Amino acid sequence: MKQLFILACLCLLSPLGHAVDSIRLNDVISQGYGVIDITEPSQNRPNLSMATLELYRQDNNGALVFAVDVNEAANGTEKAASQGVAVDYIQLSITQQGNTTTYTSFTTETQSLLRKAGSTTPALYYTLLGDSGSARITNSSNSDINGSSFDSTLRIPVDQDLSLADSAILVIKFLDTDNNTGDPEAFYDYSNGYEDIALISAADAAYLDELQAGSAEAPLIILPETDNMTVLSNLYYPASDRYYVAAYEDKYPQQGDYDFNDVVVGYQVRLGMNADGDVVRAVVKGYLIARGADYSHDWYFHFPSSETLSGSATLSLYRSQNGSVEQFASQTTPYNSQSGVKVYADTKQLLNDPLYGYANTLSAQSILLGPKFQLVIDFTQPVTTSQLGSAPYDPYIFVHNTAYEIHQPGHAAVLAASLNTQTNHHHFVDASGYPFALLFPNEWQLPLENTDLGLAYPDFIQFIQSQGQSGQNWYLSPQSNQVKNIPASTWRW
Amino acid sequence: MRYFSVFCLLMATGYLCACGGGGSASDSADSDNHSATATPIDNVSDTNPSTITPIDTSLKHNPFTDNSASLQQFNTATVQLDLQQYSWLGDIIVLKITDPDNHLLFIGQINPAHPILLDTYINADYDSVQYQVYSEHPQDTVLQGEVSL
Repeated sequence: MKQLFILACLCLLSPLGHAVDSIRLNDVISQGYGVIDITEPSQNRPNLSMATLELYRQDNNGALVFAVDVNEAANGTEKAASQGVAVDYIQLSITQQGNTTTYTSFTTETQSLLRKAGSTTPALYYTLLGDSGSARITNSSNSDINGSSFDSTLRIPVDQDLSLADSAILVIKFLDTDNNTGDPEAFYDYSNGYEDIALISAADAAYLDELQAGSAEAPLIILPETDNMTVLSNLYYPASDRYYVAAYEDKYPQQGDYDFNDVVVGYQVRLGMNADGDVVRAVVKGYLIARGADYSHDWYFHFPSSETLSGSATLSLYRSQNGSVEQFASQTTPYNSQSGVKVYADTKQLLNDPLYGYANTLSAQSILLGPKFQLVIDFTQPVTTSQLGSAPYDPYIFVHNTAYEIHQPGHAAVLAASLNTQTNHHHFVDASGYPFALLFPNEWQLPLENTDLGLAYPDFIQFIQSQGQSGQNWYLSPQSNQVKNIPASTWRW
Repeated sequence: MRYFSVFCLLMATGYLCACGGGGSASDSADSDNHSATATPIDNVSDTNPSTITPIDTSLKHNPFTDNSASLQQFNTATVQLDLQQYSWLGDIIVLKITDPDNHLLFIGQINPAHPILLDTYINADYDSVQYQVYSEHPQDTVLQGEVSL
């Protein structure tokens, strides 16, 4: 035992046993290009010796590993939660006694199939993914990764002892993607920057690789190994950067005032599919946009499946606090395929303007940003798309004050405790032939309180009367003084 | 309410014509034939909500008691592809589906040995979706097509 202890002490004291701390470098990647002196730390700290550089190489099993803080503007589907760039090439030049060895082989954790600008042929490129504003928490408080927003790693195998070298310069070039083709190229473009880069330890590399920042929503990640529960493709409803807006009249079964602003929720559904085209994961996300009601409600998302589907449902709720995002609830429960998932419980408590009671439906009131949600349903076994029912699925409300559910026409009530179920109220159309729940494109702006939808949008009646054959763009021409101007770019915070 | 509005309009038209003052020769001829007391039958049968002037454009004043209201803002567009007839040199076969404004509806790796059947649900003002199938192999052709609604 004593011998083992001495051996362990020697290992800790020896240079080879010394754990290095990640260090942010002074040079950055700007406009997709960087020339990085990897011996020069940021903040005017002393340069790293070549012997120290060799410690980093040994710590990472013969490779130099870098972390990149991906810092891209929203383009394509890029957003705070998910951003990306593709790497065109790297050159690591090690100079020793006048001789330079250049390393160009590298890897990152993810790849995508992309078109380079000027090329019509897609090719595989390594990518760097990340998100915005997150403070990483590492094991070492001395690490520059700790508390930072570094995201992805880039690994360069180096097969020479760096302690004898004179200089080490890294050139990195991001891919100039063909943005005209939209996503995924638009997602993986470089449009902002600059990107910070750090030389990192093996421990921090493992941490960042495990974190997979930004990867959940990045399009077309090519994975080397898959099984039948691996998501290889995504089907988006309505589209990867668009939302359905569900709007409700809550007086059911009494006729409402047709302002369709009692509860307004924007939502998007992404079905993650395996190689066979079966769904293994569903991600639903959205925002509570407005609540123009005295009543309070629960808002549910439900796949109207005729079969019992098993899986887990993880619901996360976020709010915007002075420009930052705060997660205020997260819960994983077994997925209830009978009634779906209660996403927003008690809308009056979740979105309430204390001055007016209502939120975002009166012309005088300032816009409140409603809570954002993400619901991830991981199915136990792959399911077919038809087993989930048809898009846009069944987003519905339960009205606390009346105990009625309100669905879009064609869907039945599903909550055992609701009055619908007890009194057999399943017809969600009023005496004038109008539904109590409508779905709109995300450009639609909600009518002001007590303003009839048809008055806010004079072309809407023509659209209805023509059976949808004319006036299809009615929702783009509101009477500006009769709607609450909350652009999608605002409520999608 | 809609039919009541039509009825009121017809009655008002008849009343105004019957009580009309001086007019042209043709008016007199109509009056002689007593045609002013009623709108021609053809016009009655042609009268529909799109040819009359409703009170306003509100839903409240434009009921659809016959359940004829169509409020669908979105349509289903089904993409059905059989890629088994193509031989691919690449290992990674990608399908991308977009709407006419280039919004991404589907992207990812597919198995070309399986028939593709995907429902999208897009804005009612779109009349088609576009698709591309491609691989990482430079000699594989990019398949492109459009599905019209």
